[in-house]
Amino acid sequence: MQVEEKILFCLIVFLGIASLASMTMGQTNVASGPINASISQPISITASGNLTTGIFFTNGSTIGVQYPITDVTIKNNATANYWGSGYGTEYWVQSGSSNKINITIYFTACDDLKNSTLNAYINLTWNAGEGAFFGNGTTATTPSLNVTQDYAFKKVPNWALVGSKVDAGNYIYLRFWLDPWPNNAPSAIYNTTYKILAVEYGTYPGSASC
Amino acid sequence: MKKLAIFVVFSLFLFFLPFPSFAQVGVGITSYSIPLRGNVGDVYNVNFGVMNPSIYTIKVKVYPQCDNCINEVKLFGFKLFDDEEVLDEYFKLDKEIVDVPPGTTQQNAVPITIKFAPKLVIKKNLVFYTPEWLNFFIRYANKGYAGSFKIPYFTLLIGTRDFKGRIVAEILSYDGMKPGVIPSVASTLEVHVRGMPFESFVFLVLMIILIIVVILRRIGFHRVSSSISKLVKRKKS
Repeated sequence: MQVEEKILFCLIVFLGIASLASMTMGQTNVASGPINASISQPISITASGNLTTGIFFTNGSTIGVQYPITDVTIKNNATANYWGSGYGTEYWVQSGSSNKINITIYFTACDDLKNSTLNAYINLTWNAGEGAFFGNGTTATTPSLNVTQDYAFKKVPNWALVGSKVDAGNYIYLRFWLDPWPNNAPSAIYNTTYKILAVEYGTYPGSASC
Repeated sequence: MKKLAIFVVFSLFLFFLPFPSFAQVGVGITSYSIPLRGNVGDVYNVNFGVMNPSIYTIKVKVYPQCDNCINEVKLFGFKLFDDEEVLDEYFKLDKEIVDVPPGTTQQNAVPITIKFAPKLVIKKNLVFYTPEWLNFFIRYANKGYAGSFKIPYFTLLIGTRDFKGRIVAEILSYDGMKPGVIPSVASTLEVHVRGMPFESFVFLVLMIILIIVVILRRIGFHRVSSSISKLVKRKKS
């Protein structure tokens, strides 16, 4: 028998003993009974009907009806910004009443507003005070226009933070405005898809994708 | 009088019609955190449910997202390619798209099963990014080219893997209609997998080398080399 064969033989014997020991050791006859618990810690949200339908930007401050935007140098309202009772907003997101955790709510746009036929865009993101903006608040009348980058729309892969540490059953009310850029965009209908994401408060939302 | 009654009944009928444009739509997951921990060879299932607090049937897409599954491979500071983990090699969801009836709560949530079964031999992808000057020519032939391509390869799962991400439940439609704004919720996902220890890998390699040496000793190095040279000669002729 060569030296290598001897080493191999020893290793095989060692492995055999080790596997036998692992199979037999620790096997004792003990009566066992089940112990069981079911835990449910849900996370859920509900979006208002008007938000689910979509964000329709209208001309100036028209309420409830969408008209083509004629003034591209002002902040044009979304149709349901002041459509609720007492001129409150009809856009809201509610944290599920059965949630046992606080949630954080993020928004993102899949793209800029686009007309596929013309291959033309209206940009949503921030450009020196232009773009689309959101306002948020805990009552229907509080969301107000803030022309800052924090309140400008974001698109994938970035998320815009619209509601932090929202408790179970609580609402985040929203309003939206659009100051289109570039100002020489051709007359047409432009659209995109918008997403809402709710995650546990304090956790990372990841990169947005569509 | 009859006409007025018909008008009133018709008005009431219209009033009570469920206008989908004003439907509140929501979605939920029965667990806000899903940890998956285990070793190579372990097989177990984890269940969670998809909830629907709205009054319409919703179609929901459920998918995992990973934050740290792509690692950059660099040489002298220059990025060569990305090394991408494939989550399917560790766990799989039994359904991707589910229909959730209205008013589904935690108690009657539509179940989704995660089958956690990490393998010893796993598939990974090398993601190469082509430069823009080359993309021009590729897009001439393939308009949809995204500027990168993947080469799959297999490797042993050595050491431990920790993935952080989330399981996302995203509404595709409610009562067959696509929502204008898409609501989604995410449950935090943490995956910890223990593969083959590095020492075991070294041991395995040594064993293989030892077995090869023993076989070569038994047969004889000269016979192996002569059979190889014969093979080469045959191919040449």
